[in-house]
Amino acid sequence: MKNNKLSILLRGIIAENPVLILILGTCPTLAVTGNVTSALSMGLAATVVLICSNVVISALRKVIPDTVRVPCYIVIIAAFVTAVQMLLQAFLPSIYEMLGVYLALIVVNCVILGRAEMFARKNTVLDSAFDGLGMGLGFILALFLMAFIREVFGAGSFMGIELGFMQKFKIPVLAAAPGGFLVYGILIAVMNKLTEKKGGVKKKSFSCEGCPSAAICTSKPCLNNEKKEEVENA
Amino acid sequence: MKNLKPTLVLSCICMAVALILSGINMITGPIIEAQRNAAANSALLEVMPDGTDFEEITDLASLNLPESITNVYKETSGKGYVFRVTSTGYKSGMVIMIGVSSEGKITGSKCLETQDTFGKESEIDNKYNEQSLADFAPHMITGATMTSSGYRDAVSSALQGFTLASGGKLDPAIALEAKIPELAPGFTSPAAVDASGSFKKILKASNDAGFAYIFSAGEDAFVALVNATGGCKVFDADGNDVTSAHEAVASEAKAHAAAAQKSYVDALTTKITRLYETATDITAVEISTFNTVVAAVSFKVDGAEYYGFYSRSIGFHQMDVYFVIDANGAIAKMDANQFIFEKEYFHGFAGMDDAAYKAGFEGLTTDTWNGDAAVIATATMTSNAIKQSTNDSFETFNSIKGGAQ
Repeated sequence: MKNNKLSILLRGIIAENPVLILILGTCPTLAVTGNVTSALSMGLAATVVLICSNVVISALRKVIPDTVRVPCYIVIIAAFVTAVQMLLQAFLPSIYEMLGVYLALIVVNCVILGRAEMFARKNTVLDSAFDGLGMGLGFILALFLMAFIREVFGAGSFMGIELGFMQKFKIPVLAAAPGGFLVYGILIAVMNKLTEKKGGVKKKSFSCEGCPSAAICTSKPCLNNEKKEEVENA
Repeated sequence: MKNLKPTLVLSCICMAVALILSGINMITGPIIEAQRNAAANSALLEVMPDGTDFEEITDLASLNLPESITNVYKETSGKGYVFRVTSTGYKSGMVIMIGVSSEGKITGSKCLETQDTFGKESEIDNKYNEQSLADFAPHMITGATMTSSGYRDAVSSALQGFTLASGGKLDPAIALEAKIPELAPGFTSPAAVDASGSFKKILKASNDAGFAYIFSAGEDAFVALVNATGGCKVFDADGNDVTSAHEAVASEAKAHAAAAQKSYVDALTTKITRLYETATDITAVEISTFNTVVAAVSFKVDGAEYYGFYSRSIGFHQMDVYFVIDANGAIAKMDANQFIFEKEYFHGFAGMDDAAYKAGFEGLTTDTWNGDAAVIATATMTSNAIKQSTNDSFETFNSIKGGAQ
């Protein structure tokens, strides 16, 4: 059982890393990875929301009717995001200002809705919490990696502190928007190469369920997956 | 009935969420509000460290404040006002915050924005502290005269604004002082010199074009202007010529000016004799204009009558421009001391043929002069100064001719 929890936790970090493997939450990934501080703050904020929403959705999984599932998830996620937003504005105003509109956009971050739909509604509260933590750590890790590369090599600084020796070698485009796409693409490529040895990522297992509409979707592959999953869970 | 459960569940979730969020808002709301106020107040507190809370006065129109004041903030416990003033230094767009205590003393000043490049404005920040309208003394920084003047004007506006905002009336003498540039456009940057006699304040033009004497009679204040040739006029606060009613003060002003004024007649006479070797009957003429003309003479060459004018306008720096106008009002000769000087120091003059430039003025009359002859490419400031000198010389010529007829 303990091993199972650990695997849930680790899965989010590497094998099903939300940003680099599941390719979810790309908008904040590109927007806030210009510097390490904002990337870490964004990662933490999203992780808090992810864990809390996973826990609540999992706890209410038997109460929430299927038909109004998605609106309920959205309300719950939006509530946590709003709470985080208000708390940050009150107690960490500098981070609130740094994240700007992207903080509010956590509501529509696909990682969170995706995990609610794929995991929390089918698993226990504790498992969902671990899943949220794992996915959150994976999100933080990916953001940190991107931000580290973009800030150190692009802006020649680390967490806002100027690195003297990097000033001569910095590549300004990395800190700009095109650099974000570039670094992102390279990281995905590296991740694919690394996971290739283990037989590649099982894309099937999250391709269709990652979509919030998977359950009501009538196209064949979705139905098949749904059935498969049910069989596996049973 | 089938739809009832989903509706109920969603409503319950929404209500629970609303309750929780309102709870959090009750905790964070006041903190966020306090932070917003602190951010807005920090700029105000900087110029009024004693203040606690500020409230913006929105109805500025009724206060009739100087135009340069864009925002007024009142300290809510009555410690004074903070003014946001826009001013013009070397370039327009200086924004200065100035705090004035309830006693009318400056509590602090800070330049928030400026287009001037020297960065000298920060050296003036807080230098006016403790000054009031009564003991206001400009703080000038060498090498940044324009910036210093802009700052001075802003502080002066804020002090006037304080008097008006706190329900007082402006001393008419101060309102008059603000009118001097309008009444005597040629008196550049009038600065106070020691006052004496009946005069509350005496101001001297930086280009030596004359003096302005502010005095009061009864409730009202007046200004006597004396130009460099001794011509005098008295104006009231509305800009009306009231010389005839104040003859005594006018002669006192003339006497003061005669003693303090630098005469440019000799310099002009020398110039005329160089321009016209056969000039005779060179006589100084008293003029009644208050422009940049500092000396005027009439003279004769071979029986024909001419007038010579010496104008001190300001271009990039002080200019000395001469015009000779014949009896018909056409320019006979033009010259300026700066051509030799500028050619040496300013690249804009390198390709300039000054003989041709001067000749370009010859024959021009008030009707045919349109400013084109004065243009020197890449030397806008100098060109504008010469334009002003030309206009002023024509104006003075016309006033002499008009007076003679």
